[in-house]
Amino acid sequence: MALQLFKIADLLVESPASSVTFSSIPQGYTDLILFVSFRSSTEDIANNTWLTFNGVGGTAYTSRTIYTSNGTSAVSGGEVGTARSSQLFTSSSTSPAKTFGNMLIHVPNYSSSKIKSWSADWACENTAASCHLGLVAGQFDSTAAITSINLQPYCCAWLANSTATLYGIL
Amino acid sequence: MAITSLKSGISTRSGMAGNTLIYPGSYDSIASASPAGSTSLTFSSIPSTYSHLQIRYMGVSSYPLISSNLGAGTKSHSLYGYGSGSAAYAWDPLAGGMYVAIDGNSGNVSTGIIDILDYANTSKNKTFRALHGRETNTADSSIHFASGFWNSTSAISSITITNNVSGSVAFGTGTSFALYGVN
Repeated sequence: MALQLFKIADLLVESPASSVTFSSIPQGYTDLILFVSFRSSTEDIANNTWLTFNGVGGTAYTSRTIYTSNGTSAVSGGEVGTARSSQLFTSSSTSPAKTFGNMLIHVPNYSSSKIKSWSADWACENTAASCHLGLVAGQFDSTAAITSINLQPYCCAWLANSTATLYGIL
Repeated sequence: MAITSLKSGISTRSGMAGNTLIYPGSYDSIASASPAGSTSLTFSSIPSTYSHLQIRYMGVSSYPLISSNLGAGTKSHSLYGYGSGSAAYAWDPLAGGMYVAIDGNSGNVSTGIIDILDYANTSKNKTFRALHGRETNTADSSIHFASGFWNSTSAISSITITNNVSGSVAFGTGTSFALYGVN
């Protein structure tokens, strides 16, 4: 049987936006998958992307990551008890024109009454050796079902033609 | 008799109350290939009607490279590690092309997934992201994460996977690649 993947919603940034949100996410799937192809207006080599669920901040986010930012060595790190996950990166205005990042976020058992876990892999594309790419495992310290996902650049804005597609898996 | 109807994107098995709803899936098989004995494989005439492409594969390969109708690529990057417990590595390759995986031991079976987002969107350059694992039951087992891009906004209509830089080594027995379209 083919993978049972169902589009829930897609999103196109038509003009610079400071934040995007998938809201009213229906329950009834097993997992969520989010494909993200974003570019931000920051002039940093990569854009730090803030991820939140259900509009919750406080100390709800913990994550671990392995990534590279110099093309020669890998670094591991993470954060504990933060108001958002900040371990994801996308392309910035320093990338060649019309080049966007490439990211997948997986949220298993998003309707569960247990604390939520998630994982992601991401890459921001440019022609420099300092391109970032990495893997993240995270936890959202909430037993509530996930009904919204927000992605916000740490500064500046998401640029036009940034896209994201949210799928449910049965 | 079952009656299929479509309304607002929802398909029902029939109009009868109590029947299970069937929602159209967003994941379609486009093509598959078993290239054992060949040094490369090509998916051609890829329709431009999907949002994203995904390739799932398993088999015996050696440093496979990805190219497309847009060429060998502009830049790629890699992050990888072995089961030895040593530190993970990063690599900034484009010597000969964009690597999907670092898989030097051609005698072992590996598996991976390649995502190409917005492959037909002519407002964007094209990117790929690939996650690959090779289990050898030894410390030589590895995981590899790669990405790269073509500096072109043209739609991707064909994808070629070459087994290694020289193209002189064939894919091993049992190798299979499957191309999917994601709506």
